[in-house]
Amino acid sequence: MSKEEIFEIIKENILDIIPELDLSEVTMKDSLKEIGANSVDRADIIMFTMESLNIRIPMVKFGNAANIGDIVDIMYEAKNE
Amino acid sequence: MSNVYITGMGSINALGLNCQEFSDLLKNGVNGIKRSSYFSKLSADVKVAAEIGEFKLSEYIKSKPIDKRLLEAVRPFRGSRTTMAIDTLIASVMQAYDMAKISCEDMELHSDRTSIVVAGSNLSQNRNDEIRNRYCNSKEYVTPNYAIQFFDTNYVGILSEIFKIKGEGMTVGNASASGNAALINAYRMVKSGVCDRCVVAAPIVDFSPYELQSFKNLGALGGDDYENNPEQACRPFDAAHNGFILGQGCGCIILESDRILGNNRSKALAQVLSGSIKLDGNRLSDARLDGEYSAMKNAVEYAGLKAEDIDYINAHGTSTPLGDDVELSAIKELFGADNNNLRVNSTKGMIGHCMFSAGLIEAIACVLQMNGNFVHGNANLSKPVAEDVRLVGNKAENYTIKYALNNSFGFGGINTSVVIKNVNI
Repeated sequence: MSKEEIFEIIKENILDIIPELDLSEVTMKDSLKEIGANSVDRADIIMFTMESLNIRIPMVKFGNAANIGDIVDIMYEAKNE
Repeated sequence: MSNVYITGMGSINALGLNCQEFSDLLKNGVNGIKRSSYFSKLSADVKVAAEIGEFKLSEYIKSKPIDKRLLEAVRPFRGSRTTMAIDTLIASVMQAYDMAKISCEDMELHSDRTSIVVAGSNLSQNRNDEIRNRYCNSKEYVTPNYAIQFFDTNYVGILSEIFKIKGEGMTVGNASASGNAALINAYRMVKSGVCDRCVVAAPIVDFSPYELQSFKNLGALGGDDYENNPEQACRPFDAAHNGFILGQGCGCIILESDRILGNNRSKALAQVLSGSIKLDGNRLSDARLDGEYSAMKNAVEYAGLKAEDIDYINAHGTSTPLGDDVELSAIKELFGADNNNLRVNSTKGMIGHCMFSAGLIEAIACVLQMNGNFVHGNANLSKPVAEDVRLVGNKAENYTIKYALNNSFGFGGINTSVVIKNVNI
C-alpha cells in the first residue's frame, strides 16, 4: 500500500468525522488540529484508519506527529513491516 | 418562588415529525403501531412497534429556515457519525426553541440562567453492544469517541454546546417514569430560582437485543398475535390487553419563569402546577395501588387543588393487565367512580411505550389536547376493564381541559404525577 493510498483513507475518515469539509484543500502538510479536528476526533480518525489498514499501533506513537504526513509515515512503516 | 410555564415543545414520534402533526394525528385517531422493521432486527420477538422510520438531521435541516449559527453548531452531526437518537433529539429541541420564539441571541443572553435536564438512563445500550463487537475483534479498534459517548450525559454535553446552555445540567433516571421525573426536577429548578429557563429533553430508546429479549422473557412485551393487524396490538384498558408495545419517540419541553417572561405571558402554552414522585418500597415491576394513589393525590394537593378540579388524566396505561387494572383502581379511589367530569385516555395506544421519554411526550400530548380543546381516543378500546371510569372511547371528543394530570410509573416501585394547567381559560 502506498503513502498516497493511506492518505486517501485518512481523508475519507476525516470527512466522516468533520462533515462537509472541502477535502481538496487538505494536504499532507496540514495537521488534523488545523483542519478542525478536536482531540477525540483525531484519535478516532487515526483508529479508523488503522482499522482499514489492519494495523495496530499504540496511540502514543502518534504523539509527535506534527501533521498528516507524519501520521501517514508511521502507518506506512507499520503496514510494510 | 416562580410560576413555571411551558413555552416551547418539540417531538418526533410515530405520529409525526413535529407537534402540529402529532396533535392532528392524535385527534384523528391515527395509530402509529406497525409491523416492526427497526426493533425486530435487534430481536425477532418484537413483532410490532411504533417506529419513526428513517431520520437524518442533515436532511431535516434542509427543509427549514434555520439560523446560520445553529447550522454551524450542529455540524458535527451533519455527517454519518451521529445516531438517530442524537439527530431526533436535536431536532426536537430546535422545534421547542422555535415554538418558544427563542432566538440565538436570546440563547446567548440567558445562557447562564438556562439549565437542562435530560430524561432517562442506560441511553446507549445498543451502542454499547456494538462496541463490544469491536472489543471482541480487536481491543485496539474500540472507538476512542465511545469514552465520551457512553455517558448518558453525552446528551447534556451535546445540547448544552449547540444551544449555549451554561446553567445546570444533568440526567434524571426514573425507569419508565423518567420523562415525568425530568419534568418535575426541571419544574422545581425554575420554581425555586435555580434557573429562569429549563430545557427538558428526552431521547428515543437505544435498547440492545438483551433488554428487548429480557422484556419478552419477563412476559411484559405484548404484540405476539398482532403481526397481521399491528394497529390493534396496543389496547390500554381493554380486556384483551396483553403487554406493552415499544415506541420510538423523543420530546422536548422548555419551561420558563416569571422573571424571564416578565409581563409578557403570551408565550405561555400551559402552566406546570406541581409534580410528585412516590416510591412503593418495591424493587420489582408490579404496579401497586397505594403508590399510584399517593402520587396522584400528592400532585393534586401540591398544586393547591382538590381531586374534583382535575378534569383529564393522561394515564400511564401501557396495555399490561396488572398495570392497567391497578391504575384504574387508583383513579377510582381518588377521583371517585362514575365521575362524569373526568376523562381518561392513554397516548401509548397510538404511539407505543416510549420508555424514558414517555412521560415527557405524554405531557406534550396533554398540552396539545388542552389547547386544541379535545381529548384523543383510546386505541382499540372495545371491552373496557372498568365500566365506572370515564375512559374516552375509540374516537376523539371535543372537550375542555382546565387541569390535567399526567401519570408515569416505572419498574422499581416508581410512581409520578404532574399537574398541568390550561392558561387559555
